[in-house]
Amino acid sequence: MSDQPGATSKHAGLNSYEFVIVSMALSFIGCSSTAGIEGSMSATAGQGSQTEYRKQVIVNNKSLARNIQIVDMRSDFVGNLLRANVSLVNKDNDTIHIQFKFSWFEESGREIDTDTDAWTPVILYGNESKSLQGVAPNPNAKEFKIKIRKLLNE
Amino acid sequence: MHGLKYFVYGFSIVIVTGCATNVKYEDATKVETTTTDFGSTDLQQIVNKMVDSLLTFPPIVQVTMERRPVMFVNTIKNKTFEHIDTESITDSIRTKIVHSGKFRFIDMTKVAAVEKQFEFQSESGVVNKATAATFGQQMGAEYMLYGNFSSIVKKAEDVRDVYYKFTLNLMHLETGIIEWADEKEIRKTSERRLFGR
Repeated sequence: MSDQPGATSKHAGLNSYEFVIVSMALSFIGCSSTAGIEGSMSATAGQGSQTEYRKQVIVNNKSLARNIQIVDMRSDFVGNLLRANVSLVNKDNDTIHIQFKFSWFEESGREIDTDTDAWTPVILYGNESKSLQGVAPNPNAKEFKIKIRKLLNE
Repeated sequence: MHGLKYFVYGFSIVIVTGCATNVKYEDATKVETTTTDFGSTDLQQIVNKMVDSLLTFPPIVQVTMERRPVMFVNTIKNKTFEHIDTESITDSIRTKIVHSGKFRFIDMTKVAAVEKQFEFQSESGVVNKATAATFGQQMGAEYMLYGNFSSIVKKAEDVRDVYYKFTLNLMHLETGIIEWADEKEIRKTSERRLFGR
């Protein structure tokens, strides 16, 4: 808002009370939603040697989902470590700064090393698609979840 | 009008005086962009990239399928312009690798302390010989982890651009062959603006 070059001159027409009120209102508008998009995928033993995969995407931020879309989620085992690959696309023409974080779960649903994976910043240029990769912390992981949020100066 | 005037002035004072020291807990894993200096997010990104790359590199996957080789961490040379605790980076890398169950480590920084403990157990006469640790049974490391950390800093009047490059190598001690290597690049810029965040 204040990036606009004319922002300082516009208040010339306001009296001092109105200017203070407008300034206070602007200072409260700064808050943005911290909700994002969540994708999860589990790998369970199916019939024979086949592995069955289940995928789910939950959108908690419709504004972010208008710009970012999870187009594909895949996982495989490298040795015995679960590796996740999530493909994103920026549907907007402008660059978007996002952050993502993987969480890993055992077959029982218990989260492994809660909150040890850090939020990682990513730049998605206009209409760009990008793959985000993560590797499970240990061989017990059978399910992953990816959380994607807008990168805010919190 | 006077009522509004006093309300506005009063409210402004409340807001201004509200800017006292405020301590709160924060998320240790959140993206930190306070300055362009090396920070927690850079450390976490480096650790994740390096460990993920090492553990999924096909020859390493093959070696660690049936056994847990022993390695030790040599120093990371800090060639940046900043004072960075590179031991903190290697500590995090080692912790993550140990948690994966793929490698075991020996700690070269604790050799003197271990020797002292051996001496105490064998010579002080205080320790029961049956429970004392036997000399000469420690495992030798098969691999050595070492690397470099460098940076390029460029400054213009209001812009500062920092490029970091962290390189890590895994050497097989017996043959001297570098079995794995990878690098992580990070670029950060800061711009001083008159307005905005």
